[in-house]
Amino acid sequence: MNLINNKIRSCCFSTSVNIIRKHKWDLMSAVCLERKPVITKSLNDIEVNFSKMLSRIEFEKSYKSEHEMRKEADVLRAELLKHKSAEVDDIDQGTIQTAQDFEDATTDEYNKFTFMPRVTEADKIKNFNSVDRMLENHLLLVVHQKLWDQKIWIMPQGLRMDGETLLQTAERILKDTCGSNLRVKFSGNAPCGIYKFRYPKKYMDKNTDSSIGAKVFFFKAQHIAGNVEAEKLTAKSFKWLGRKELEKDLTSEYYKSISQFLIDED
Amino acid sequence: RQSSVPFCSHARKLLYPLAPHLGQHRCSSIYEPDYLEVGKSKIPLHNPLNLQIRGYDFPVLENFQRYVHKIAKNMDIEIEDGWAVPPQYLQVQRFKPQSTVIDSEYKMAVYERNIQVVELPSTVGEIFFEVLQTALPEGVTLTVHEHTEEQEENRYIPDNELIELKTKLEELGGPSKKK
Repeated sequence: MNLINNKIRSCCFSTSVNIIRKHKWDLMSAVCLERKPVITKSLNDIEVNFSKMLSRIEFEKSYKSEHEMRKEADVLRAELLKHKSAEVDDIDQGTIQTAQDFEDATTDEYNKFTFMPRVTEADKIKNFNSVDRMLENHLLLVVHQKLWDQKIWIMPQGLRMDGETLLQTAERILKDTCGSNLRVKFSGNAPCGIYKFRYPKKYMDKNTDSSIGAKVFFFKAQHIAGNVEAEKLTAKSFKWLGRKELEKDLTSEYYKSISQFLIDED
Repeated sequence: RQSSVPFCSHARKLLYPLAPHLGQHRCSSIYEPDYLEVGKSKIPLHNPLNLQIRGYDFPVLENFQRYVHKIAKNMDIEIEDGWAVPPQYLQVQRFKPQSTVIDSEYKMAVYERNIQVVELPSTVGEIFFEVLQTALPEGVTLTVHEHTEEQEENRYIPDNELIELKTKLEELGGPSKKK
C-alpha cells in the first residue's frame, strides 16, 4: 500500500513540477541590399605581369594582319616610285588613304579619348553615405539601430505582421527605413540566410507567453538607382560598406551568418 | 547527355512529331505514372531558360561560355544544349555635327552564344544568376529568357530552293489530289 502511495505521489509530483514551456520566436525579415560592382576589378601584380607575357607570346606567334601587309605594300610602292620617278602609275594614289595615315588617325583618336576615373570623389573624401564609392566592389547597406541597450550596425530589419509573407515584410521595411527614392530589385522569393538571436533576459517580461528571441530571414536585393533618404529614416544613420569594412563594424556572430550568403572578393 | 540536333527542321519534325514541350523533360518518363509525387522536386522548377551571352570580343566570349558551363556543372544544374548564333555585323558611322560628312566609320561584329538550362529550381536559380552577374567580364551582356518556338526555328538556315518550289506550287493551284 505504501509503495503504491509513493508511486502515485511521485507521479503527481513529476507532472506538477515540469511546466512545458513553449518557445516562441518572433519572425523578422531583413533586407540585404547590395550595390553590385560598376567596373571590373583591377589586376594585381602577378596578373599584370602574366597578361603582359601572354600578349607578347601571342604577338610573336601571330601572323601579319591585313593592316601590316598594306603598310608594307605602301612602303614598297613608295620606294619603287622614288627609283622610277618618271612613272606615275596610279592617278588616284594620292587620294587613297595609306596604311600609315590610317594608323596615325586611329592613334590620335585613342589618345584624345579620356577614360573616367576609377577612383571617384566619394572615395577620396570617404563618404560612406554615397553609392559611388568603391566602384570595383560590392557595397552593402547597413543601418544604425538601437536594440534595447545597444546601438549596433545591422541590415534594415523589422517584425513580420500577421498575414504578410516574409518577402512583403522585407519590401515594407525597406520602404519604411529608406524611403521610396531607392529603386531596388529583389532577387527571387526565397530568403538567402538566417540569423537567430535571443532577447536579453533583463528586458523580457516575466510571463511565459512572449517570445524568447527572434529569427531574422535575409532577402537579397540589388540596388538599381537612387539613395537612402536620410530625413525619413527611422534609424539615425546609414552606411554603404565594402566587405572588409563590414567585418570591422558588425558583431562577429552576425557577420559569420551574413558572410555565408555574400559573394566574397579577394 | 547531348541531344542530337538534326540537320534540318523538317527532319526534326519527322523524328519528334509529338513533342509539344520544347525541352526534354526527364523528370516524367513513360514508365512512371503522372500522379506520383515522390521523384518530383518540391521546389518549383523554371521552364527551359536560355542564357544569351553577347559580346564584341570573341575569345573573351568563348571563355565566358566555358566558365558558365563549369559553374553550372559545379552547382548540379542541368545544361541541355549550347549553341552559337551567326554574328551581327554592324557598321557605325559617326557624322560631323549638323552635316552628313563622315567623321569616322567603324565596323563591329556582335558575337552571340546561347546556353539552354533545364529543370532549374527557383532557389538555385537566384544564386546562379547572381554569381553569373558578378562574374561577367567587360563588354559582355547576359540576357536570360524563356525558350520559345521562334528561337528554335531561328537556328536553322532556311532552304531557299524548297521555299521557292513551294511558292511556285501554290501559284499553280496547289498540290493535285490523287484519288
